[in-house]
Amino acid sequence: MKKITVEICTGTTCHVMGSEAIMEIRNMLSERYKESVEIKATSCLGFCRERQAGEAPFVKVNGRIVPEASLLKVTQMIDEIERGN
Amino acid sequence: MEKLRLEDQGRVITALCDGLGSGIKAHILSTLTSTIATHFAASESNLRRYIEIISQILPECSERNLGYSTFTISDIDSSGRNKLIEFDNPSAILIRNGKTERIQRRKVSVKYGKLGSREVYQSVIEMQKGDRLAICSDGVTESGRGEKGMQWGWEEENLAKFCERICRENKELSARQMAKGIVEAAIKNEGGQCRDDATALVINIRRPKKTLLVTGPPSHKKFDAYITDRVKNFIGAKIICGGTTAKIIADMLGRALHTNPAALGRGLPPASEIEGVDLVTEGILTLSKLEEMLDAGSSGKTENTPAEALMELLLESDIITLIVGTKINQTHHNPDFPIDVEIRRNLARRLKRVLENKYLKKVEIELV
Repeated sequence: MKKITVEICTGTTCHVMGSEAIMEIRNMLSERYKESVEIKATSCLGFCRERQAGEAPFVKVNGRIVPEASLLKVTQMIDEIERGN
Repeated sequence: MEKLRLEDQGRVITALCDGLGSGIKAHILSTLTSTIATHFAASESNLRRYIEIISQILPECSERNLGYSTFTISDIDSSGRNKLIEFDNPSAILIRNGKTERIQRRKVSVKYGKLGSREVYQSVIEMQKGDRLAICSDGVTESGRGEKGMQWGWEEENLAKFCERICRENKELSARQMAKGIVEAAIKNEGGQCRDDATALVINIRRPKKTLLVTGPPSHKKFDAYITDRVKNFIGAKIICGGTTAKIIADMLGRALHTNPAALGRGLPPASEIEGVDLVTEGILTLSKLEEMLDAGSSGKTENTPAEALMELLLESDIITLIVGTKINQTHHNPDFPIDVEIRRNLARRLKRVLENKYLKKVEIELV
């Protein structure tokens, strides 16, 4: 099965707006997701400069941009993708 | 310890002082002595006269009727000629080609307050490339006193052997690393906690080490190639601070930019990697933290943050070039941001000031 990729932006804006807390997702994913989800940190994705992209912090889940990301939002998205699979 | 760089004369003067006793009074005595001593040395006043003045200025201990601070002054010029003055500190140790070299000292008697006559040792050392000169307080040589096999403590002879060994083992050993090694060994002699202040000052004669730090995207895209070329062709340590800057340079070099999520920096964004670059970190937050750490003089702690890795690289350097991109990041003009997210160039100026004044580095800033 193809892994779900979660890319967490660690640029200045996203970091200040809370991306470090989202990184905690590594320790909070349930056992069944640990194998199927790949967590990556990235340097600035640059979305904060595009007004239409929304507000920081940004996370990309399987290439989809998640603005104003939070642990809950990202976890829900992983759940949705898993169910879709 | 006091350091003074006389740029126009090519001289660097350092004074290691140890105040009588411990605590606040000892600290005041040693700070007072080191400040006076370096400035007297800078003015090339008569040795006898300035030691007499120091003895008259220092407050006295009411119990022992004396109040002094030991000192060693090193006054080195750009040719490597080092005028050394030693007063009651352990003898300085000169390591040349991995061995202790004898220093020819001249004994001078000086009047010293109520203590009457005291002996001061003067010497002139023609220092050579690769030489290391270690100056320590008695907290180092007397460390471990009374411990098994060390009735009188570590002693100068064993300290010299230790210095010889670590210099032989690591030919690239920097002055900082050696000073740190000496103090750590002294602490170890004491079983982990010194009973007396242990200070070490090391002078290392070598070619200056250069570092290039690039931070912030340039004001115009046309300068992207310029900063990339500077990084590519620079001989020395290369540092990039800033995600966008790192991305520009990585793309132009055609190299991958990796960020390691496991390397989270305890409140700072994690460091990244680009092949051929020594360190890649986030920009403003990491540099602000660096400035705070440099200002506080903190070192030795190993929290393993990107700011510490950055500090380590800069403190091992002598000539630092800061290339500061001046493109304004609109996203930083956000009311939700903390107050210390400032314009990069002001931060660069503050870094220059602290690195030059406190650590005697040569720093140049280039705005692009």
